[in-house]
Amino acid sequence: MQDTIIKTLRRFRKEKADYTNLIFFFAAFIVFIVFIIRPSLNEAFARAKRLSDLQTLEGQYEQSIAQIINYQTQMQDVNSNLFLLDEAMPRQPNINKLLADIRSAAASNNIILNRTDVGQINLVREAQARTETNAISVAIEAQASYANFQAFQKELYQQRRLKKITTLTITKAGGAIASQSSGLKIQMEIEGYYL
Amino acid sequence: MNRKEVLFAVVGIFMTVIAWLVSDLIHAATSNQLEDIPVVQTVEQVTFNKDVFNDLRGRN
Repeated sequence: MQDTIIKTLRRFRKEKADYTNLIFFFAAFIVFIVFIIRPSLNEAFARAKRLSDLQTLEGQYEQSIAQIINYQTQMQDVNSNLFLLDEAMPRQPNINKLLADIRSAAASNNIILNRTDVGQINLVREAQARTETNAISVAIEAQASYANFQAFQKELYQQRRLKKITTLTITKAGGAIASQSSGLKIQMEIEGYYL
Repeated sequence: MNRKEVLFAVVGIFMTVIAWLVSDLIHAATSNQLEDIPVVQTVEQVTFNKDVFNDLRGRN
């Protein structure tokens, strides 16, 4: 009986000692995790993520730089042709050039210009308005045969300066009893564009 | 509170700390680490239609 009690007491003491060891082990491990393992692992994971992000960013930068170089190459090709755009749609109204184009087309196609009216132009414009396309309107009253008018229209559209015939009225020049040779009375409005 | 209860409490704290550690690592591995680096500005797509130039060149 005494032996049994002694054995039980020893086992109880041993169990108590084991619990104490476990408690100290866990407590020490918690401290170890909080103050040593966690900061180190945290830094390692953050650096790995940063490296991955930087590699992705590097790829984006390289792609962007390649794109810019590509645009520069294209711009070099296009640069020599930019005067064409400037002539097609100048920054100023250039009414004299527009009228010269119309007169030239009329002269080369035997069109008699009876009247030419230039519409209003706003010469004072704000800088931001230059992003939009502006138009000058030129009203023309002319006399010609239909074939000549067709040739005139074709030549007008073949000119480099962009133009559009917005309104067109064709009537017989001498009224209802006019002959073939008297031709047609043509009234039209031509818009010339500028920036 | 006997030692067994203390042990359960310590194990509970230990598990909580492990969970906190794991969540902290997941956060570190997924959060943006490049806040101080400027983001790449994307260049707008620019295309030049060379047919326009060819067409204009043919006009007078």
